Amino acid sequence: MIKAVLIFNQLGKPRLVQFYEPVSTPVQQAILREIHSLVSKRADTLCNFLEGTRSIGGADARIVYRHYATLYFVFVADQSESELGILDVIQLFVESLDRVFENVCELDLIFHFDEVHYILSEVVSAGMVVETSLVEIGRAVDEARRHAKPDSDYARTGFYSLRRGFVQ
Amino acid sequence: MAPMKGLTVFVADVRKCKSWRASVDRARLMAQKPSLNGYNRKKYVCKLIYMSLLGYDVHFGHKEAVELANSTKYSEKQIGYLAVSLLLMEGSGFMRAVVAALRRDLHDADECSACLALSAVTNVATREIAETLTEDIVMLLLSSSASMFVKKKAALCLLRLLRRFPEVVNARQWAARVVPYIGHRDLGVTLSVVSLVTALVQQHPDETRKAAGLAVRRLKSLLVDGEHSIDYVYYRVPAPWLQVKLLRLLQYFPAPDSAEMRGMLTGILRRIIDQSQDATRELQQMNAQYAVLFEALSLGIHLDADQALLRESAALLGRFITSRETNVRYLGLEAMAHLAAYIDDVSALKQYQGVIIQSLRDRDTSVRRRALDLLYSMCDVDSSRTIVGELLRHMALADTALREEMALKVAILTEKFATEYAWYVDVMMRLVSLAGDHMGDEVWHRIVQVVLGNEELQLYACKIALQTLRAPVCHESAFKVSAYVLGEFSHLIANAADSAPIDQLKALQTKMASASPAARAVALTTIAKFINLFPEIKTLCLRVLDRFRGALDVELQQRACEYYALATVESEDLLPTVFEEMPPFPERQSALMSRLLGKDADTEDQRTWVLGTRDAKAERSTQPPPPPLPEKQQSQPGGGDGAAEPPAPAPAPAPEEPEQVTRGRRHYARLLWESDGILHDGDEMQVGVVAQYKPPAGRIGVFLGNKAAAAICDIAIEARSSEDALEIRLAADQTPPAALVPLAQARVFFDVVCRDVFGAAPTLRVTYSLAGEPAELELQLPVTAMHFMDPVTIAVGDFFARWKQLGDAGIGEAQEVFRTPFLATDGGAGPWLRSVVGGMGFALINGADPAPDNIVAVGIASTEAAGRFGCLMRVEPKPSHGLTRVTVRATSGALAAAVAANMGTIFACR
Repeated sequence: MIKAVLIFNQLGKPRLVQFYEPVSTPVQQAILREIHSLVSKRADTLCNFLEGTRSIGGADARIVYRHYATLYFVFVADQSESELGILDVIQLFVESLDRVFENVCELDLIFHFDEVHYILSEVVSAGMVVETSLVEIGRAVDEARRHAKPDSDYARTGFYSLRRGFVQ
Repeated sequence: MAPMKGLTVFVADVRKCKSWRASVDRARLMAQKPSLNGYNRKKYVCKLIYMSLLGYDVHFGHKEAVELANSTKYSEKQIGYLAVSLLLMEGSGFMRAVVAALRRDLHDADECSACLALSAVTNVATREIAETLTEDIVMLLLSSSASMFVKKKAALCLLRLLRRFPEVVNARQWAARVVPYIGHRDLGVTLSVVSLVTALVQQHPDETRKAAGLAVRRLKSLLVDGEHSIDYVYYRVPAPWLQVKLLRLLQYFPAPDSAEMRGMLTGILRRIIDQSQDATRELQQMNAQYAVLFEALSLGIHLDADQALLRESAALLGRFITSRETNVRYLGLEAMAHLAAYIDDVSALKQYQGVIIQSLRDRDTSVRRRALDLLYSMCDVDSSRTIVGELLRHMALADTALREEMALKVAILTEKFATEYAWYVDVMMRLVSLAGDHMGDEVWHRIVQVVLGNEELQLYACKIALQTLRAPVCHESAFKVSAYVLGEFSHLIANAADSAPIDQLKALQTKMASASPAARAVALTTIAKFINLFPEIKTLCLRVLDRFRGALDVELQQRACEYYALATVESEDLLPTVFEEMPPFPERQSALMSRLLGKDADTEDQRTWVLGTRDAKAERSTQPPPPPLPEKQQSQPGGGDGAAEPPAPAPAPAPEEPEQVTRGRRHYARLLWESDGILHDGDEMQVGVVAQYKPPAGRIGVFLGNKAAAAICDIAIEARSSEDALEIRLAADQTPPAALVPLAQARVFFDVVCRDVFGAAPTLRVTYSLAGEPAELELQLPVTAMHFMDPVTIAVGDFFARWKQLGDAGIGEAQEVFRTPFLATDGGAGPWLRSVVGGMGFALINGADPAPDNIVAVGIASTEAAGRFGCLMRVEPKPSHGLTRVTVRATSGALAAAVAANMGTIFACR
């Protein structure tokens, strides 16, 4: 199971912090700092996996990360997940962010953190991967956007979802 | 998610702000306004979320978040639920209101709202939610009207609740109905359901038995038939994530019974392996492909069906661990460790040993760690020396984080695969000196335990301990081990050169000055034990103790005072009783292993394999666990005549017999040159012997110990000599015990008198009954003509004159050549040999023989009726040939033969 998803920049500033187990905020921040100190020292040619330190979950936890431009995307998972699989999921997550924001950059994540959370919830839920199709993720996000429009009313969306169900 | 200008400004402000405390206060002020409209409330809660992201513990504004969640507007609801899942902690008073909102939204006709609610449930997942909403969520998953969108979220939502509150969700009722969804046409739903089923399989295996077949079919349709939507192709690999999940799920099941299924599964695995052989340039595709491949290899190892497949896997992994791609190297090593933990024959992996050892030097610490795991996992008796040696070499260079684990693993491997005692002691001492700072007390405790438990080890360990103390630098852990070992067994080396009690004490004292209080405490105990062992240095020891009576450290002071008092009390028995030799430690799982394995949380996915489980697995497969003893027998340990008790367990099976005999023989051999020790160590009865000789007479104490769980009764003990030349009888005031309760010990003394040189050792017969079953022990007592010998020292020059004299006289000579291969391999064998000869009752004449390795010795045997016999012995070890020549010349042929025969027994049992 995926225990946490973290996004932070090279300086260690958090951009997204999502834990899938109840963890208090100070501990979350401590973990984030620790992972940042571990990850930021590593050269890009090294592998994308690290063993968890004691506070993160011990030797059973795996820190899987990817480094994109200024950002680090970090997934903390236990042994029941495939490391390479998680690496793929990170790539998938970033690609879906890219689709939604059209060339995602750090500022997008800062000013639309709510949306980033929503996209993440379409990819990972309860520490498990929900969806791996970019098309499906994109569709879900579009739908949520349409719903959230101030002028949207329930009659129309209700009709839309009916039709959608029918077509499928 | 429409842009909120205020929020954007706020975020920008906070980012610019040096101390954002001011911003927090501003947000707080806003909340105190009497009423917020929806938009402002949303903006306010967003700010709170942002602040919590930055690490500020947001304890306020929860009410606003809950209100948003209860709103009818989708956009407000979205923010509300996000805030609830990020900010609210379990036990919050607002939870009730949240649950109400969740329940309403779960049943909302609009699936987007339902999804929001499901996401929130997964994130919040309190007990209250589990209790009230589980049923609704199960309905969502199983109902035909719910869309795919909702179903996949519902599945994971259930998984979350199941993990947190397995006792509340009552999975037994719906587990069987969820399983068929593995075959669902929508891959998203399948994926989520497979995750859920993986957890269910571990908790309710009976309800989910069908899952294995469904998973295999699903894999087949995905891989072989190509039934999948184009959306799920990730860099040309069809739904890699789902493949991985399915392969993982199958690892929780045993290999399928039906041949058809097995064939299908092997076909799938083969296909995955074949596909990965195509060289791909693109990194992402390779990643996805390897993710599937590694999982497939794990499954192949788990099924253990096709040896050819495993061999192929080993070859494939061999390629991976030399890959230029660090990720592949890392995973290759990990998968190989898995393989090594399962295959019976690690020789296929041996050829990569060099590469793996190289990987210990990899630039990447993660890779180094995996290499260490792999080496640990693949180590066996043959490769243990190389691997342990390499690990020790790397210890000095390894990063500190890795060092502790490395030390632990070296300790375990050394103990597990040591074939020679000297090697064990050398490695462990080096280990504590090298890595002492990085490991817990378990390691040095364990060394002491092992030394206590193995008599053969003690002499050598003592020597090394003294050496360690004399080394210029001595690590604290090494100091503790050395001090402890010396305290227990220093008498073994007290006669050797430079190891007199006084020397030992000096060595200890020198290092004590710079040791930590904990180490000094150990050393104080050692000094107290010295008082018991060596009365000649009592005053010196007392002086040291006296000095520490005023120590600042409470522990030290207490120990010093107590030991001082013990040593000065006017009682002859007190000190020997208190400082009696420590008994061997009971065998149980080594603390090292438990430390390494740690413990697993129970509701998370269990690991499908554990490092270094090969032996455990082998044991499982070769011998079924012994049936538990009948409870009755254990519950009445002191039961009288045993009439009502069930019969004792069947006698040991035949194959164990020879092993028992050789062990018995070994005990006997040791007692030929040592005055006390164990003679017989059975499951029920232990027999020990203590001998004291005053040639031509002697007194043999026989100790009987009850090791069984029940009382041993009807004990009769009898010693008999087959020759008249030796008289053996029960000592005058002795009455043998009739019964022994469990763990009790009794002793009986026998008097022996040697009338003339005799050839055969007397026999000891012990009959007893355990739990109504009569049993009998017949043992050879280690009493030979040689035992009635006193050492005699003669001038160095005289030895060969006498030797020649005796040889010319031709009265009695025995010469034998023994195979002694251990002389070459074991550094401690030379000194051992000397102590054997010394222990046999000879005086060693040092410097008489021109060859320094040769041993020449003199003794005189006394008999009551036939007078005294001189005996000379010459031992010529040739380590290079693995042979030793022993020549004995005596004034009695029978004596020479007896001595030579004893030497033979001792060598054979070494």
